[in-house]
Amino acid sequence: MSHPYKGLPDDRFWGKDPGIGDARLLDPLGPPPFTITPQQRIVTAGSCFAQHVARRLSEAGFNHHVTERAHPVVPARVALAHHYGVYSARYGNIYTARQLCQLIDRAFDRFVPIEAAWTAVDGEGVVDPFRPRIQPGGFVSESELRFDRARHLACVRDALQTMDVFVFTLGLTEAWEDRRDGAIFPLAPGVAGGLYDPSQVAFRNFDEVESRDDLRAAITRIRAVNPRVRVVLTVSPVPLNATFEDRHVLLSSTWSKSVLRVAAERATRDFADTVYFPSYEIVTAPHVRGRYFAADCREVTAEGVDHVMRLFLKHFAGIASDTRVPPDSDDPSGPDSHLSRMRGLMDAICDEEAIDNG
Amino acid sequence: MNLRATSGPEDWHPQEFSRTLRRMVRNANPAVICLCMGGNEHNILGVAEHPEPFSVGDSAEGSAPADPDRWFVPRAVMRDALREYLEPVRRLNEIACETFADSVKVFLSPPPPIADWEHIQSHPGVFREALDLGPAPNALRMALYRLQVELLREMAARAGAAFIGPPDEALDGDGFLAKRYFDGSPTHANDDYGAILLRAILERAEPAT
Repeated sequence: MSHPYKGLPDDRFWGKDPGIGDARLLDPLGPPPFTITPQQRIVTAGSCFAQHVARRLSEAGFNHHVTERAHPVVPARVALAHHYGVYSARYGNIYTARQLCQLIDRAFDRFVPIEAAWTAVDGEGVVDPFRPRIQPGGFVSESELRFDRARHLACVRDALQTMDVFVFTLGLTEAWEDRRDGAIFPLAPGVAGGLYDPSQVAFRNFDEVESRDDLRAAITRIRAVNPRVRVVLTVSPVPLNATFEDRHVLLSSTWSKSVLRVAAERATRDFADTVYFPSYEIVTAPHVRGRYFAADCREVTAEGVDHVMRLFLKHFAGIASDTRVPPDSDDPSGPDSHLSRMRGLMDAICDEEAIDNG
Repeated sequence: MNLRATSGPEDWHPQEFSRTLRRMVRNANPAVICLCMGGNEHNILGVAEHPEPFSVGDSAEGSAPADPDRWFVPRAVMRDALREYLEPVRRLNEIACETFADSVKVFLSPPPPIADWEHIQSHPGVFREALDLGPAPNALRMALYRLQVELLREMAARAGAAFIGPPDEALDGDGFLAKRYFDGSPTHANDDYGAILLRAILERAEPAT
């Protein structure tokens, strides 16, 4: 007897997935619409999970396109501590699509937020409200911050205009907004600088429509300056560290990831050369029985990141497990001398973890 | 004494260095020990222009020098970089302080940089082959020097040592070494400068003697 499922491939059926018997065989990704070569310039951005992606791509010999580098006089360890090379530019974690959109607008002088600087937590110096944990020790003055910001935004422009591939990891829907101009802060004022004044900032939790529109606006802006860029979207599997909604953080986390997953899916339908990569699904799949989460039930283990990146390299670069392509990074310090040497030292730097109820 | 004459700091094993110190210091229980290790890092970074000209974050102007065409290094980044470069100095100072645990400790600041480029060119010393790119901007040189002095001052405080900074009378109007204290080198001060510091050391040492 005929039925619509008859003859469909095995991967359409839960029970036929080899990952049930051996989690390492779980591979929910089909052939992507494009491939990535070691020569192509890859820009990464997003929530803290994106740091793993950036680091592993560099280690695998891909061209992590770093446009904001530390000066050569700065030792590699110091540079990394100050977020040089963590992402393509020192924008820190970008948790929401709205934040990404505003970063692009700031880089191209379309948006100058009213809030220019936050007082550092220790009261000495200032921090950048839009990347408050980028620099241990903060900035000595607002004028110094302005100098650094000008260079930073020039590097963001450069990255956006010259990249071949943009990998964006969507992380959160919750954010804090300046009531005066709508500027989105990655962290609430008071957590890593600034003063929390409810009359000045509002809590926002972007729903599926807002997240879809923001992501669409971000990709549209990027394509306006770089029409041929290919986009890989992922959703961070790292649960929320904290929620401001009046409910359990697990419920907020599920809602947030669901919204982001929908926004990413919609973007792949709206834009050519835009693909979703299932980091979230790989790490949270029942097949792995929770073992890709560390003891805190939140951090992703190295084994989990390995699985994610093994599939990324397999599908986008045709690289089998444990194979390395020749290094071709455009970072002159090279993966051997910079990022690779930091392997093991560098834990993902998660701004969101600064949020506590203490 | 010139510890550099013995070997490089990277080769010094703590116990060996401590024994060497004890051997070289004739008085086994000195009332005061005076340490002036770690002097040239700011000059290595800034006595001459770098192939990639850079500036350092500054409180008032934002950047020293305030030139947007230079590669900007935030002050906190340069401070941490200098701290890393000074780590061998910190370790040596620590061992010296432990070796003479009962002595009063005094740390000395290195002399301020020399702004006179003609003097540096005439007395290039070890920097002979590094001057072809011309002088680094004075604003940068002073920023680097002040950062180094700040770090050494903090190092002294953590070690429970007094710190003697550059004496005001030896400075020109911009904080550089005044001409009458130049020595025949691009970075060192002369005996007169040393005499000023000796007086300052003896003043600090007085309560202990």
